[in-house]
Amino acid sequence: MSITAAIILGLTAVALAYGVLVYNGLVSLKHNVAKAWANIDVLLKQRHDELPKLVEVCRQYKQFEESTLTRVTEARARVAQARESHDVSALGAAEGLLRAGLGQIFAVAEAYPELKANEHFMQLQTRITALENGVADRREWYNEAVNVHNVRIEQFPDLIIARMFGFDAQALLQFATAEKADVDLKALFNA
Amino acid sequence: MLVRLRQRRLETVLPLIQFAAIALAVHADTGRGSVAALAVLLVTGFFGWLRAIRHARLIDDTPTSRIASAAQGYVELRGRAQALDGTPLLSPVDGLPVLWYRVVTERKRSDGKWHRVSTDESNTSFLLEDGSGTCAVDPEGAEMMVGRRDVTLRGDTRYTQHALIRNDTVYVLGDFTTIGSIDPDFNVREQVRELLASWKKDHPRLLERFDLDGNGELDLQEWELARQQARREVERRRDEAMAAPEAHLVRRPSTGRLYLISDFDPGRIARRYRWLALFHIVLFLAAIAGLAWFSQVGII
Repeated sequence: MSITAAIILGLTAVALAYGVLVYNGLVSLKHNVAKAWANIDVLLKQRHDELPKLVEVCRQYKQFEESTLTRVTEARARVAQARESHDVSALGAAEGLLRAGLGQIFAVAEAYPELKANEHFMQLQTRITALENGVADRREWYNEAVNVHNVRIEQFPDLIIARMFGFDAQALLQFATAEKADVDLKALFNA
Repeated sequence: MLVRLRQRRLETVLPLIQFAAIALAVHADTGRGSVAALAVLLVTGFFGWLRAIRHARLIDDTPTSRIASAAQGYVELRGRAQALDGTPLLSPVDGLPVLWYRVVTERKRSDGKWHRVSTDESNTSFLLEDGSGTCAVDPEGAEMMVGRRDVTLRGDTRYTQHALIRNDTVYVLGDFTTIGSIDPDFNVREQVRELLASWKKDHPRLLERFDLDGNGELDLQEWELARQQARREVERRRDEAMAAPEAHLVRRPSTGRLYLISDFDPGRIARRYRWLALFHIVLFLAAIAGLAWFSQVGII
């Protein structure tokens, strides 16, 4: 065998091994995204179980408008549906609505001492707020995992393997603007 | 570069084997000796390339987590190193406080060359802080890639110390575990069922607590009361577990994946691994070319 042929053979072996490495790397990235999603999902499930209790406690107090409670209940159902169908963009939108509704409930509660004295309500508020903070923190890591995945599948030579084996871009989890906006307390109490 | 990159196990042994093989290939009197050396270079070059490139990609591809929200399992963390409470770790060379050290002691021989006498390494855990939380880092079994290096000469003895000190920015890639936290799969319904099952085993006590009409058996209403009480107890336990302080720990992955602790920037570490991969691939291709030449001259 000539030296050139041997080197070509060696380079071919390296290219094949690199291809396997890239494929395994992409599979691992996909699993990272799934793991990051599961990390958020567990908190969403826990919050899903807590919300009906909060709504039930609130119903006992007439200062809560039924429409706010209904909106929270509906948003909860939409979050659950998006979570089960793994629809990241729908989840982001539903989360925005849910957080806005919860923000209103907690803002109203601030003005009513009898509600603030309700131990069950306070426990639920603390727990739900902690879960929401957890979701927000874990969202960062999820988006980081998605970003790493999406950059990789667009880089050469990974994009060849990604296209060959159908590795698609993953959606970032972005909450709707309503979640980021400050709650208008003035309008809320004037209503 | 190689010594700094890796002071232990394969990354040290592999280049040593390769340098020995190169020396044998160059100096061997017989063609067969050279062929054997080239075969060693071929195998180690390929293996070394694969390992180094895999490590580089792992560093590039693992997203950085925040300690407070890190998932259990393999993670990448960055933060400032701090000492754990208790007696501070002191450097055996100068007695100054350190968080981790590796000290190589060498003696000068009569021919003027340095001869390694011992390597001493600490295995005390330290803390990592990233603003969101803190976690303990267990350096046992880690690939320590540490840039801070001090050389101290005392007579004919030379001490080379690599150390991590307080406030160093440290990069960790390893297995993240939270001790004392609530199980993420904690299922209230299941726990209630288990608690009720355990109460049923002590029937007299169950009757004592919930048989309100004293007829010696639990009717539907009394059973519902017991179920509600069990649920309240499970929820109380869950809330207590959630309120309890959690302790995070990073340690060597049981799966054999890379466990790395470094004071370098991750991009720089990945770049070093890529240079190492290049070194191995050059050796691999050179070994192939050498073997092909021996084949042409008829030695193989």
